[in-house]
Amino acid sequence: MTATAVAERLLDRIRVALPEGRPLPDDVWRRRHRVIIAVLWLHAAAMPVVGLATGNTAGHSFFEAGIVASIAFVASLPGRGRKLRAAAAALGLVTSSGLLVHFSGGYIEAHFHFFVMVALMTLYQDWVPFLLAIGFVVAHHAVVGTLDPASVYNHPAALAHPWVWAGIHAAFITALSAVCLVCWRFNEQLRARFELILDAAGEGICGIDREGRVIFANAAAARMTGWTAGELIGRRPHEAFGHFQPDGPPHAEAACPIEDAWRAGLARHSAGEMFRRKDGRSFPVEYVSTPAVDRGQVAGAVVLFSDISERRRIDRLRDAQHAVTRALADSATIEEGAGRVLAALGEGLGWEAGGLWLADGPQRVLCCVRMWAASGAAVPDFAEALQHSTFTGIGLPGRVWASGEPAWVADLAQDRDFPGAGSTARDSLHASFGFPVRLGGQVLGVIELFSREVREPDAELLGAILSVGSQVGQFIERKRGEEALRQAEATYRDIFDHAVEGIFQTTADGRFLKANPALARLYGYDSPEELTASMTDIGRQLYADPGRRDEFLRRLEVEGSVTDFESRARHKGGSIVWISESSRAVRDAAGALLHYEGTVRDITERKRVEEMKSDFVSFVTHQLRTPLSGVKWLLELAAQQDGVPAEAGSLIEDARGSADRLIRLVNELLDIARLESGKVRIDLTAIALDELTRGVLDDVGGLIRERAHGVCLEVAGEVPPVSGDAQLVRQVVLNLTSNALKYTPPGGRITISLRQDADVVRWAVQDSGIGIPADAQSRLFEKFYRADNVTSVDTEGTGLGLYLVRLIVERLDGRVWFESAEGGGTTFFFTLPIARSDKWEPTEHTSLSSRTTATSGGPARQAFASADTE
Amino acid sequence: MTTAADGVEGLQAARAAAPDLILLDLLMPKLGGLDVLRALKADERTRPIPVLILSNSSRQQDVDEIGRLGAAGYMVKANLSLQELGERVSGMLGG
Repeated sequence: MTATAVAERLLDRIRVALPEGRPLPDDVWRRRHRVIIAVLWLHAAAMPVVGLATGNTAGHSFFEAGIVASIAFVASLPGRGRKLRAAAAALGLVTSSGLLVHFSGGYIEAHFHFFVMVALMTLYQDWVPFLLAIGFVVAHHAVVGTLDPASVYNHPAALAHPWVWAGIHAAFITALSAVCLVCWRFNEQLRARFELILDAAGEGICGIDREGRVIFANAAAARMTGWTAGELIGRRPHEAFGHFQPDGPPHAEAACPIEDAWRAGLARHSAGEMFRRKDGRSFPVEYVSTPAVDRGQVAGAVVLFSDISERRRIDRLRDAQHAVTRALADSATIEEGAGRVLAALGEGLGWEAGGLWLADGPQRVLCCVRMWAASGAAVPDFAEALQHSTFTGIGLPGRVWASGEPAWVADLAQDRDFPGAGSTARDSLHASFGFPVRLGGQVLGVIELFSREVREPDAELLGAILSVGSQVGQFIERKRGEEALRQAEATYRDIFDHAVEGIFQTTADGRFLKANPALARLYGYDSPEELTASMTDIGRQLYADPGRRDEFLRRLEVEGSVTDFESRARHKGGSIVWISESSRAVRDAAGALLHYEGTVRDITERKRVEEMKSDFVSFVTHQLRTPLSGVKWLLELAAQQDGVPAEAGSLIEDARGSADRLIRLVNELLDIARLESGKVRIDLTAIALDELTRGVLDDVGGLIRERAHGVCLEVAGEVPPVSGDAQLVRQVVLNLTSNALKYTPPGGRITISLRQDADVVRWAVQDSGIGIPADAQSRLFEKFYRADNVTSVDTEGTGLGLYLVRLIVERLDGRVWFESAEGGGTTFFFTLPIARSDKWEPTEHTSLSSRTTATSGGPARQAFASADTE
Repeated sequence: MTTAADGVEGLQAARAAAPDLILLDLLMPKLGGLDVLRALKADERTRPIPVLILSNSSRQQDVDEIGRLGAAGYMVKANLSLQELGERVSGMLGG
């Protein structure tokens, strides 16, 4: 390391150790100055005493004292600069030192006074007085010590070598200066740190002295209170802070909790009281007032405080958001929710009135849904105006709605665009802000809040309030959905409740899940609840016929749904009601049965009418047939009388034919009535069609011979038996065969053929007759229809035969049709399903003896009629 | 051969004469044919006499009842000629 470098480092060290000379705070400086001035005046006063006591003349003594007093006077002048006063004080004190040395005749120990004064000067922490003092010492020793050593030194060695002694004094004063400077420096550094800490603190910090005056205040304290730090110092804190209670009234100064710290030595903490700034505006504050205790005595206090309005604002915003969430969760309707949200926002954020507008109607205008005003905030004109106002694109709500962005008006009185300006002015409403009620990108409406104060826009509030808008938007959407659902439900409920038909849901184990009032009435119960509670086994309790429910479920299982399932049900009162059920099985996605549901009609009345009709048909049949059978038998007897003239015999035969035709017509009408009403009892058996056909041919043998037809029966191989009712099938074969015989000119050829066709047996009769005109073919199976060319051949036909054939075949799950050309003969076909072998029964079975009896005894007609069900 | 004008008379005649065959109508004054049949079949003396029902009524329940009560046969009058009736009766008497 070079010498230069060493020197540089040394200088650097020295520079660091030297004070910067940062000026002291005024108050500190003043206090120190006061002490120094007091010392100085003490010197001025003591100087003549010392002068006289040391044997100096009174004139000299008072002259020197006058010099010191003059300097002290200058130093004491208020309104002069600090440097001048400090310099004067320094000059006065070191002058006093010099005078003391002179008065004492160079008494060496008097020099110690210099040292004390130089040290005292460092209290100013100012280079000017300090250097002045040093300079005076040096100059005094150098000049006076050389010119008049006896006035400076009082011993021979010093008198002989004044420069050596000046050097010795200089060395000691230098050392003292160095020590003083280091102390000064430390003091300065500590103060610098202290100030740094104070100013870095975000909280306001004020030091209070024992008298209750501010002795220091940091920058934050100045910023919050609106005073400068200098203005704060010396003030009473209660006055400087404008301290008052949160609900408004100021604290009495004697009872100000902050002052308890230095008055009573009690620490105080509060969050929520208010300070008023110099400009009159107030803010909520949290403060800690801590007593400063020095050696057991309260020496003052430190007050820390912070402006919590931001924290309050965030808290209030958050609380308001929570309140909105709660309000929405607790509200059943949009209107109720709107009222609670407005109250939550208004009360939470401190706004006096508000309204919710929703875009509504085909014109798409904003309509006021709900108006709110804080309790005690009477805004009658404004409320009235809002309730009836709509907006399109104007006004604050209109602007918010159009832009989808929140908006703020500091003072509505200045806003010409607000349609309600008149009413708000009358109600003294000024500031207003609005924000959109959103659902995704869609603006559903606007919420606007009003205040009696003029308020500057709060961007943070506007930003945060958007989430409230979305929340309200979702709420409205949800409520609208619920409302739509409720209405739909009400509609279906109405249909369900007021349906004429009974509607039900039942379980597989025979209980009712749901029943409508009509169903309950149908079964004689007062309410659906009574019905569902009473029925635990529908199959046993409800159906009059055991096994009916099982049949119902079986068909549901096989077919998935059942229509017009007619049963006899037990009425609660004990009577029987006829019901017709249509139902389906309801299954989940996996196909598992959930329940059955369907409708029930009361068909008791219909059944009664059917019964009456049946009785009527039966009655008419009997009433017609009885005289006809009389006529028939009497004519038969008449024809057997001896001696009937040939002509009369012929007339009797014609009459018998007419009677037979009339009987046949009655029988056919009866058959048709029964078949159409579905009341024919079908006894399904296995029928050998070839045998049946031979039997019919035997019966009509007379007719065949009469008309000289050639008839043959062709059976293709082994033809299986068909499933059918023997009497009904016989009727079909008879009708088709006799038609062929009748409508084929005498000597014709009739072929009846039988063959198996997949799972049916096809029966056909082919004739060489007159054929069927094309225009008649489509109507041939209609009731009472007779083709034109038929009437010319046979006037006896009723037009019912083919219709009856069709009814029977279709009833037996078969099909009937024909092929024909007019003049070219006709072939009639019908099919019947092959009997399943497991269902075969002997043909001679029959459950009813009267049937077989009748079959064997009389013509087919009679057998058929007797077997019918009425 | 004995004839009767109503059910009561017919029943008395049947008991008195013990005929070989009874032809019975269903719709009759005083006592219906089914009741007559029931009475005939309930009586030891008349039970073996075959009864042939002759009627223009053909209600299914009547037909079923007739079968159940054990009538020998059932015929619809209008569908029957006297000749056929004669053949049937002589067949039954002969059998």
